[in-house]
Amino acid sequence: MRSIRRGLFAGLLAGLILALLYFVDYGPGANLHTAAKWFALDSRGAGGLIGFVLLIVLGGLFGVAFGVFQRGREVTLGRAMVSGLILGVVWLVILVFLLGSLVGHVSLGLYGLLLFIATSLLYGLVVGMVYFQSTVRRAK
Amino acid sequence: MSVFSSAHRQKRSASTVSTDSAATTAPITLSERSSMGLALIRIFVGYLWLQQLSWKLPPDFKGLHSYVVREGLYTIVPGYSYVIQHIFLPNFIILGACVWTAELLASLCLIFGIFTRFGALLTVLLATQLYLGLAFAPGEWYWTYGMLILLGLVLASVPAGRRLGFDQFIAPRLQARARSNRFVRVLSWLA
Repeated sequence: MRSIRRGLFAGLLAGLILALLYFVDYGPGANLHTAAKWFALDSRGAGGLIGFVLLIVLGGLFGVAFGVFQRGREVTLGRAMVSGLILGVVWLVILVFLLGSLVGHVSLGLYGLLLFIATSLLYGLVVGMVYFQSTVRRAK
Repeated sequence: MSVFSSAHRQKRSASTVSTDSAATTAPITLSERSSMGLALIRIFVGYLWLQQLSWKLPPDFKGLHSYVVREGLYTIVPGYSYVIQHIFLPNFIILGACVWTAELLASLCLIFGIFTRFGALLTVLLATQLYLGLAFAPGEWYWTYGMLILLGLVLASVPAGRRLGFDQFIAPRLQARARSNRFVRVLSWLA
């Protein structure tokens, strides 16, 4: 249960960071709207807010999955990092490529592709690192 | 987390404290929260640089061209205008590719906290070039580029990649091997 709670916390935090990054984005992706498009929830007025909330909720869900996967395993920095990056790749494939590009027909272009690869991997890295950091007993 | 980048400096500091306490100050240690805060700032600054790739995309790097022309007109460095007009602009595609690659590299270093100091120094270099070329052009607020330089310098001065970044994994391993290998020592300084 503790690993799931840690995963949830790490996922929510990483989702919030991602949502804030997309909030300050003014590139051609208009990324909060793009996130809303993954679930066909985009609209001109509320699409940005929906995308913001969606990223945090999805971040938490993926974080829980990360926590479930880590349950009963020894947590080392290297392992947390690698499994976090794998989580980032899963995020990229499911949300950006499957739901976004294949189902939602969201075209990315070179910059969009670069941005979503970088931010998806960042999400995974942050989940892994925060999860690891929450298990570390701090030296006094 | 200590702000000292190497064990050597820590040792030197400790020995100095024991021998001459009146002439020294206490070493500064970053708390976990401060380190996390720095990591977040690093990620956002990296994202800032990543975003700037969006309007000068390859293969023609079109968005960059007008800025290079403006630099040629309003640079504050004597002779730099000649370099821009006779070397950079005739070879614009090569210049664009170099700038784009450098900005991509710097942004990835900062976002992922991998060789963070290298990434930060690269942003200082890029921002300094912008300052010299564009800061005093009409319509520009010169502190924009000044702040970009300062942001880069801050991230180069502190170990910003040691939390939420690959440097947390890489830096201690490089430091452990730094004594026996000069190349690793340089790499260790850049992480």
